[in-house]
Amino acid sequence: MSELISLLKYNFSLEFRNKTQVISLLLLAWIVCYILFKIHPSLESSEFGYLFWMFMTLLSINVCLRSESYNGQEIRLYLYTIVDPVLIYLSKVFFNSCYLFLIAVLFYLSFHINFTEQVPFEVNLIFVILIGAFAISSSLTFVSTVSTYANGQNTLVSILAIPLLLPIIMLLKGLSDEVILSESIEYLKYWTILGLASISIAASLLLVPHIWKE
Amino acid sequence: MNNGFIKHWWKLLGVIILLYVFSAGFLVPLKPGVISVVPTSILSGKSSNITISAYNSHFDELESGDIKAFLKIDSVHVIKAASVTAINRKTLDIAFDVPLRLPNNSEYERSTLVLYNTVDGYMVTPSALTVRQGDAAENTDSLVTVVTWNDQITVAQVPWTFSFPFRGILYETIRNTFFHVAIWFAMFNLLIVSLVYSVKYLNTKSLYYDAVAASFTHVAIGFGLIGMATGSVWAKSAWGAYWTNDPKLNMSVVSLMIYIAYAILRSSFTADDRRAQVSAAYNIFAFCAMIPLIFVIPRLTSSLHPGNGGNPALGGEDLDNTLRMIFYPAIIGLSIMGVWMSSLLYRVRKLEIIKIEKQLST
Repeated sequence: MSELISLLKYNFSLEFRNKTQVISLLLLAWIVCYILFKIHPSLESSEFGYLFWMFMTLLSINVCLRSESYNGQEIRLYLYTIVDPVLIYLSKVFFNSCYLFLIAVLFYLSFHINFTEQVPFEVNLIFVILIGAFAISSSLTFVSTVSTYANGQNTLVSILAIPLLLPIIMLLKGLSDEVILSESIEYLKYWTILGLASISIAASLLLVPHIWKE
Repeated sequence: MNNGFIKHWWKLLGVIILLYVFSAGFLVPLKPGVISVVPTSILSGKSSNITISAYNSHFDELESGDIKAFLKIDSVHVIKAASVTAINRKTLDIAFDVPLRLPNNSEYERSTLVLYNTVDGYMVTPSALTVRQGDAAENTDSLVTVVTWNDQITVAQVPWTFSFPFRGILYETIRNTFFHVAIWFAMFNLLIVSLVYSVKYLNTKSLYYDAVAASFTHVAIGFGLIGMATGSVWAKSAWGAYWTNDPKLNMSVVSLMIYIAYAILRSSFTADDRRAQVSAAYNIFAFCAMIPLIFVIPRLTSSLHPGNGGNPALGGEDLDNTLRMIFYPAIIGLSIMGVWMSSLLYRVRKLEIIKIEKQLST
């Protein structure tokens, strides 16, 4: 457990050491929202769901790839000699979900600031974002780990990740629509998302020890 | 020659099974059934003539007294036809004397038309005819004669014939069960074999196992594409569109995309052992991700596709014993074909591995 926490700390310190990267990602979220405000000011509440999760898909691929890229091959090998690869993988999943959650909440807040009428502030949506960030990172982390061993091509990550993300994104879009349009929430969707996430985490924890060995 | 037969008997078996499936699947006729009823609604309290056209029937071979027709209003009320006249092989003229007052004094009843004759057996058409209650019916007492179902029709033993069930909407396309459904089953069999060999690879690190897994997955992708194409044609005839926004359809596309991504992942490596390692892991991951997509999520929501939310499949009247006689062999035959195709792909890969090993040793 202490290893996991120190690994998380290590990941965060690596990420926030490079402040321009963090700020540029946050700025990207803000700019996307602002451009949307400029070109489509009459955004309707029902359009928020798919716009939000569309951009989140693209942003999350970006985020999960970056958490892999700043570890060079030598550093990776060194890490694997001192800790269990499963722990490294788990720390990456948690790091990615925290980071995604942060960005998604800021993205949502900028939506709320630009379109106050159409996108009200709902605490339930924060909860949806939390689950969404966890579910997205659980399958995306595995895919980005796989792709780093295949020479880290960005296009490969998109090809591998999008079919895995599509059902999760569809469920999340449905959930956020229900929250924003204040319809009755289907709690089955939460369980489906969590089930998908736990299956992909269980499968990847089994497989990660086999991947990293050179 | 003799030795070769012993080694390859299963290929011959597969060919024979598929020949049986194709010939029986296309040649066996459909059971007779009613296609249209004109008019679709009649008024109570008078004698009404209706004309029905049937499919695959043999009305002209029978005397008009042999054909019996009943209108089943609800579970206990049945009206027997006053007269049945065969116009030609496929058309019947039936007269019903409907009493003025309907059983529950309801405005209308959707009733089931039951036809019986000794050659064609029973033809049951649910909701074939709407009986509307005529005016001033509330004041009369003449109820529909109360009879029990079995009293009216002496249940005759219909001789068994080798024919497929007649289902509304589906009609002749019910034969696609042997191709569309069976090819998806065969695809799953191939993917399970591929999964087993991927696990074997991770345990032993023998490149041959990875070659087997890759061959099976590639053939399974081909099967999936064929399954999707046959399903699309079926959807055009049954639902009216080649593609609909249905959870089962979406999820099967997603799982096919996952496996196509596997093929792309394999091609992006240069080193053989790295490729084998990563793609074996991805293959296992893909299988785990696919199971909930195809078998769980579509069942949670309503879906047009049979076998999902509120829409049963492979049971009841959709798959009767005659269909089973061809459907199960179809799964076995297509799986054998898949194994044969994969073994051919595997032999190519095996030669490549042997070539590399020879180059390395010299």
